[in-house]
Amino acid sequence: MKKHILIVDDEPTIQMLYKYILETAGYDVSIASTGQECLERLISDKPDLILLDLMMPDMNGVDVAKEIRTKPGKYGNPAIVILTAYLGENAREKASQKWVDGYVTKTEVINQELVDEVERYLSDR
Amino acid sequence: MLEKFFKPIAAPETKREMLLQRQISIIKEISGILVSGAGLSESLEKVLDLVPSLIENDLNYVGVLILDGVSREEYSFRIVKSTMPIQVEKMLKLFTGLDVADMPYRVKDPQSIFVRSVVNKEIAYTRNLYESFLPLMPNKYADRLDPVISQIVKLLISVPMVVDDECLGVIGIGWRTQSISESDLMLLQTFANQAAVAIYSSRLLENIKNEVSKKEKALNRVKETLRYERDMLDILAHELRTPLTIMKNAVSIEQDEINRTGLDREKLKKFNQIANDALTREVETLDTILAATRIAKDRFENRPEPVDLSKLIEDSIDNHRGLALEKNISIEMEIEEKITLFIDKIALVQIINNLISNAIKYTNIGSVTLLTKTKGNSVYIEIRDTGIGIPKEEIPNLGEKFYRVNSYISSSSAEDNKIIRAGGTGLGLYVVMNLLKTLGGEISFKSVLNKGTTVTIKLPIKASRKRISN
Repeated sequence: MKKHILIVDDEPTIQMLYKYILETAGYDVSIASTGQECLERLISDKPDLILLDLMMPDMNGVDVAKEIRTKPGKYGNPAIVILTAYLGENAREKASQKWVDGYVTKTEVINQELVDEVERYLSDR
Repeated sequence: MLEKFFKPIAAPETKREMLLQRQISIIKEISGILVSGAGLSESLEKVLDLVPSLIENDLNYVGVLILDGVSREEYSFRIVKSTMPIQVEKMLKLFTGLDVADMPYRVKDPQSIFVRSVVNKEIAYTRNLYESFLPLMPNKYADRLDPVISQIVKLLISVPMVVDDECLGVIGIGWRTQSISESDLMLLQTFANQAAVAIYSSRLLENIKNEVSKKEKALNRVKETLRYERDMLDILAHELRTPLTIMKNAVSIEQDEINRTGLDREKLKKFNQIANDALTREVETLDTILAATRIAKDRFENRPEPVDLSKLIEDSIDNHRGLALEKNISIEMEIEEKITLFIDKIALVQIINNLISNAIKYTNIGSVTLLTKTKGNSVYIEIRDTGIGIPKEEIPNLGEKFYRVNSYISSSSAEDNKIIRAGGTGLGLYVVMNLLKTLGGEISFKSVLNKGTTVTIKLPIKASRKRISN
């Protein structure tokens, strides 16, 4: 069965590119633009992994992860990978919290590398 | 009741011994107040409670008057505590309309009892009570109050509260009897001085607390600023990195596609457009940051040249077509006539670019329209959108460095999930407004929430050469 990935990013172009990359690699992909939408999608789509942007207009990615991890009955238990635009101190500190499985730096990881990362976090589960 | 069970260790035998014991216990209590760290009013409350227990039964009034200020003409006191017979209190209220605790007590007469004891730092007394309540009310009321008070209080004494050779105020005590003993007076003076120390120390403590809270507030402001700057750097980095991410991914997808399927023209075109738009965005963001830096350093050189306005606007619109298309927004243009401006072209391009990109950013449905109109020696450029609008109260704040209209970043508007990243760099309007100042232009905003915003800029057709000034 195909694994399901939820991309959470407020940037439409990034959503589109990542969806394209991951679908090409054989995953089912759905998209959310805000933290709130991400939580709704978790209930309806039950993804295996979520790629979660750190900086969103409504919520911080780590806060979303915390919400998910504290209510596994409601949101399930997907792998959570934080997407950061760059690895500033701030982001590193936030992303290394216990709520997430790992992080991916958007500018450093492209196409096949993104797919590799996703596979790694999925197989770790 | 307890005496039944506990025998006093040593029963006081003489009156003098009793007095001594009382004095000791009162002094102990005052020491207690001193170290308790209680606030000023609490200390005074206790001071007042202690006075009646000092002397047996023959006093009828106790008041604590804190000296608030001394000017050449008058001494002003604050009545912080006062126990008055209820009928007197009622009359005072009737005459003055005030509660005793709210009454200012200002005395001009240097011979008045309280002033005498403040000046001489000695106990003063009077049997003529009339003068003591005169500062509180007009003569005609004092005349009526006098017989009442004279029945209750036969003697009024004023004990100065002195610490470190400074008189902080007085304790006024009214007696039922005509005279009191020397030893009682001594006891009262000791007591008053102890009270003064209590007041003094609690004042000191309050000052220290105030200082500490002021320092804490200042420290918090600094912390807030640092956190704010760190956040701003994060946001700037994010804004610069995002288009790069897009470009990298788009180009890399193109590469993969070429390797896999050969040349699929449609796909290539699509990803090329994406990379191109990201590049435009990156350059714009960089330009804005650089302009902001130049503005902050007062290094903007205004170099006017003839500029074809309609051409400039058309170019700027073309650069934003991709972005608008992505959000399904149309861009329209109603340019009245061909206008040539004598103006700094780079600055004008930045202004128009920023305003168009803002209009698209905050519009989810509908259109962005650009209009121009000339009037006298000025040209008006309007950028109208059908976007989410700006709350009225936020308009005066627009153009502050790093300012973002709150509702754009709050969660309420995040339901509107098509808004591209709240705010961008937070430098756009700051740059626009400062550049306009250099060009001798003006800007105004009209906005209706959820209907749209119209930004109008006014520019001189022949701009004069001048440097930016902060």
